[in-house]
Amino acid sequence: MLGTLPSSGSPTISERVSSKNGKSLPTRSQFTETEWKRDKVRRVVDGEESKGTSEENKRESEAEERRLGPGLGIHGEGREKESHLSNVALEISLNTFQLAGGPYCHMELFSSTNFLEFASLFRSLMTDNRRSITFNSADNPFGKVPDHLLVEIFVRVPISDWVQLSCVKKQWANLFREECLWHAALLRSFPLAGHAKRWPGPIPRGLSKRRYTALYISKHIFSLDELDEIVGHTYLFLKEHLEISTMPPPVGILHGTIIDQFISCGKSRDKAHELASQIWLAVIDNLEENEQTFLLLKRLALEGDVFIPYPYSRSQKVQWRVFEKLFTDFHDWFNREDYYDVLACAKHKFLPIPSPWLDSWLNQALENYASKAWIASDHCVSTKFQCSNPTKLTIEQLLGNGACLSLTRAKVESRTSSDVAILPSLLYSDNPVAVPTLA
Amino acid sequence: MASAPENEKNASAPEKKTLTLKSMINNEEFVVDEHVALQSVTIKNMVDSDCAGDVIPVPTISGEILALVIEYCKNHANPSASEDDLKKADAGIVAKDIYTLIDLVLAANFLDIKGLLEVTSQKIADSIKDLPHQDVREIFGVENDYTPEEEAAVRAEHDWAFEGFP
Repeated sequence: MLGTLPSSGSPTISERVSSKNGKSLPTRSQFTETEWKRDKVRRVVDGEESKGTSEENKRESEAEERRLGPGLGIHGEGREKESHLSNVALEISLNTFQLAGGPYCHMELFSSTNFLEFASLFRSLMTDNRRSITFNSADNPFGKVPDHLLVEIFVRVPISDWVQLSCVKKQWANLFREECLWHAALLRSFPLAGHAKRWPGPIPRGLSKRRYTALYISKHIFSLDELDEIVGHTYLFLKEHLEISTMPPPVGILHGTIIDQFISCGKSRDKAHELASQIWLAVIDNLEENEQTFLLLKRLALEGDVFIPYPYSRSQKVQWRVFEKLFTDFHDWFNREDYYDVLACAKHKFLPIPSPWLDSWLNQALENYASKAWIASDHCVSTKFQCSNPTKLTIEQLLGNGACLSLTRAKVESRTSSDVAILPSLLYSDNPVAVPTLA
Repeated sequence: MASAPENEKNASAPEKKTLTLKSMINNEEFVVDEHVALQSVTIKNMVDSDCAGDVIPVPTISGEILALVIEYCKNHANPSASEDDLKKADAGIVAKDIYTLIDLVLAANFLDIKGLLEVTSQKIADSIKDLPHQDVREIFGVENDYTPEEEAAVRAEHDWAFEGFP
């Protein structure tokens, strides 16, 4: 049924529709590749989980709980579920790997029957005049390792496991608070950065931990050809100002500071502008989904444009993303007035407006009977209304960004005949074109 | 006393110079070629500053560990060894239990042999990575000195800016 519709959109979406058995869809404007992958992973997991025994599931979820801990909260609640599920998938593959003799294979050493002999032999061997080795320290091999060697070991453990190491022992956690470890980690992971000079400009370099974080971000978020520490620092600067400050400075000032920083580091004006917009996009994408972010995005959307010369002017792409995020990820947060304000602002800036942005607006309009005809007549709604319960309409986009506002056309399809009575009356009055596809 | 044996050897022997390393823990002695032993920066400094006798005492390192260290140095002193061979040989040396590895890393640190320190710490790191902290404690007998609240606080502290990124 879905496939026969002439306006059916991208394959990802229709596949998603069929996979979810016609339940209401998340109203994302478009599926990025990662989202699509994540979705795929989730379906794989769903399948796997139903196959596995309940015992396995239990063990997996326990292992996962231990491993995940907090701190995945970079996505808001809505996304956390998704990332949670994809972690289950990872967990499954890890477990299989470990059973097959992966990272746990060193355990053999400890199960060997010679183990006790070993321990006693070493106790006798290591008897030293200066230190009396007690049973305890023979049991705890790390007890005699000085801090600088612990640092050598820890910096070789993947960074994702550092939180586990900190939780082992207070002394270990303290090492992760010290400059020494971060300096070693910095030199090890980013050997070239060790020789980097300090730079002029408003954004400071900070200590090793900060630099490590910045370099990590430069490398992992902005896969640049040339590793550029300042990009990471700028990202942190912007994210902190937007996220942590209760009253962030005006956008124009933050943007100007970033541009100044890049120019004082010798970047061309074009490069500075390009990097700054990349940083804005990355920061906006990585904000948590909470009320503060919603208010921030709303402020960014509504903040008036003052004429500022290039490269200090804000990039179109960034403004687009602000609106896109508001209308997709945050559309449930809007109240009516805010929604119309922001929509008006979006209309002023971008025409045509992509149809996914209109989602919540459509929903609201449909709930409000009076405006239903107006939707159809005033705007193109290349949207399929799917209706299983006549009182509750759900909407699925069949077009991606392609829909525009100029054409008045709606395709209406209903599952049961009882729905038909309602839908035509919604749309028929002002919009005769909408009806013919009804059975 | 220090320089006498060396002069003697220089004069008498065109063959390779050797040094004797003696573990002070169990008094085992090892005779090694000088160029092998000189990979240890500590020994090199001793020899350079002429304070090495014919027997170099090595405190705090047992004979067994010293044997491994010397094996490593011999492998790496061989100019004809290919990189792959060396990697395999290194892997063989560090394929030990954690007690030996820790002693080895301490020895590498004391004798200042950078390569050995590198492979040994890497091996130890590999054995503790991917383990939840309870397992690290259990397997390596590390005592827990946290209250649950403190542990939660440490976790929160480690909620680094880049967590959650690939």
